[in-house]
Amino acid sequence: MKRRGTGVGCMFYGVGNTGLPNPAAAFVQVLPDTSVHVTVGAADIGQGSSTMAASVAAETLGLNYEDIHVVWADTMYAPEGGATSASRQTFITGNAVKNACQTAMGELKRTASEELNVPEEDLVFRKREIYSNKDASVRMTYPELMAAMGKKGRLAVGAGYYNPKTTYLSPVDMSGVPYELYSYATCILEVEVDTDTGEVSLLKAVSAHDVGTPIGIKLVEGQIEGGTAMGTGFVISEKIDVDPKTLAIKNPTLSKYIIETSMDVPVVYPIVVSSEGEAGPFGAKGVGEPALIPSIPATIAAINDAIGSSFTSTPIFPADIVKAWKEQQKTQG
Amino acid sequence: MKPFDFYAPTTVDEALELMHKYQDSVSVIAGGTDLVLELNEYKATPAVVIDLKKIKELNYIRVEDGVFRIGAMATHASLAADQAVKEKVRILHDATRQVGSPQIRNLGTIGGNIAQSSVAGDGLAACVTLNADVTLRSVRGTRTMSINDFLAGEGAQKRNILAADELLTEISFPVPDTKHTATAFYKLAKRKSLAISVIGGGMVVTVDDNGVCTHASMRGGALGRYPMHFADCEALLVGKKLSYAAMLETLPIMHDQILEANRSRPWSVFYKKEGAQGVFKKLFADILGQLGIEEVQE
Repeated sequence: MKRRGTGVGCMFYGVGNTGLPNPAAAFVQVLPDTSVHVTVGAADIGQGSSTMAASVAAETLGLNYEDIHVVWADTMYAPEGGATSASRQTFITGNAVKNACQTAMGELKRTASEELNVPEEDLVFRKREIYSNKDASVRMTYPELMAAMGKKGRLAVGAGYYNPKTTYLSPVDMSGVPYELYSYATCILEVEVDTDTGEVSLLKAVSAHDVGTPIGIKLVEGQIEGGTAMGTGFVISEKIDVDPKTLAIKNPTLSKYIIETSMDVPVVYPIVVSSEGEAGPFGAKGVGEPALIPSIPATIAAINDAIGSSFTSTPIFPADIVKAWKEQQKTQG
Repeated sequence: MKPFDFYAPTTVDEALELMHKYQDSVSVIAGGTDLVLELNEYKATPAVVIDLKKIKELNYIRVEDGVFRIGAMATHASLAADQAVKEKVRILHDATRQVGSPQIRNLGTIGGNIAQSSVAGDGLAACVTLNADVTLRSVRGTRTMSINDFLAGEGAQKRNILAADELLTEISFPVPDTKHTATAFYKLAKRKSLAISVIGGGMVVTVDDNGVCTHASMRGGALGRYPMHFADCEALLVGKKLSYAAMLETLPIMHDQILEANRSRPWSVFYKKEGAQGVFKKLFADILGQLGIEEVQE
């Protein structure tokens, strides 16, 4: 028999390392041809931290994304970036890039102010142009600004870093400020369970995430979709099988550690929720792990809803489902 | 990988000569989806590898005088895409379309699947349920036998009757009369693609004009070393008017047979015996739908 069920999972998540300093840094130079070198320590493992760094630099400097060249994770040249973990790179490396760019902006602003005869605080840097916010007709292009910089023998360089405002936690009662920033999310997920074979079909997932200001909405959506696949797999197919005697992992291959294929993942509807006023670059927050977390309880709850079971741990394999269903039929009847 | 001599003959006769010459030191490669892994992991260390990919005469799917004839080098993908197979032999269509992944189906062959005789071979389970014939050739001659006899034999590799110099060249079976005969396959696996069967259930049923079952074949792949034969279930169906209720009556027998056969593996037997019943319920519904006897709501 096939039975459907729906589950809801909610979460909040502290971005960055818990109650510890965890800084990251960036180096920036705007070159005479208006292209930009950004160097960060952040390891881009596919999530798009380098794309994020380029976006933050372009927005801060008033240039286009295509003007930015990012060198990342080269330990010979790049500054400390900390781990790509704890959903922290957008928040921390993003802020480091922003800070480095703002330092580089010092000379750019001074030069533009002299050239346009506009006070520095009235200058707007946007899309390769610099203009006065009092009179937009008073303007110059970025190449003109860089030419002026060259004539005056000035360079636009900056180094910056960011360390989240946290405190060490009290060893007595764990009080303190563990994180500066929190992400929030809710996932609603629908499954179809075959009570005879225990097969679970993941039908669809709607996952809404407060990411502050999304930096690259496609990247955020991609993270949510990938995280949902990972979280649902955590429930229905993934298990690290440890030999109780030797403590060796018995399935250290992808043929025996079963992750979902594109045929298995649910249709994911990511909803990107914007919020304002937080400490990330332009208000951005981390979504790496938040993408994954709520889909786990949502999947468990959906299975429980479908067959009236009370699973509270993962994984839930077909054998567990068949067993739970049979036991329940027995007690009912 | 241990070095080996490589031959890629273009005719069957050429391949047979080579196999006869090198005997036990030969590994034959069809699609290579099993052998390449074994070579890489030093599980197979042949002195000679003979590749069959260039032998065009072994790659065909055709119907002749009411008999399906499938060349050993027909891939899973080509079988899954074949319109005649889809219309007439659903069991083979459904088994081959779910083997591994698209890449594996494009390379892997039905002949390789049967010659390999792996526990979880889906093509094998389908052909056993159909009680297909296999044709084996060597320089010593040609023999054709039922696939069940093929599996029962102990040849060079113990897993089936194939001698060291013998090549499986063809699978054949009568074209089912789809008015009276329905076939079905259901793959139960740990995920929806790129998965090894936990249970690969196959069923063939023939009824007469009055809807009375005249023939039944029920097999469960991956339940034992070879596709498990549910002979007592079949016997219960033959002679009865076919219905979902009548088919469900076979399940307790199936349950006991799987329990008996897997007693040594208590950790897996619970799911195997329950899951197999679930698989066969789906096959029953599929068969009854195809024959237009009954619509079973899941």
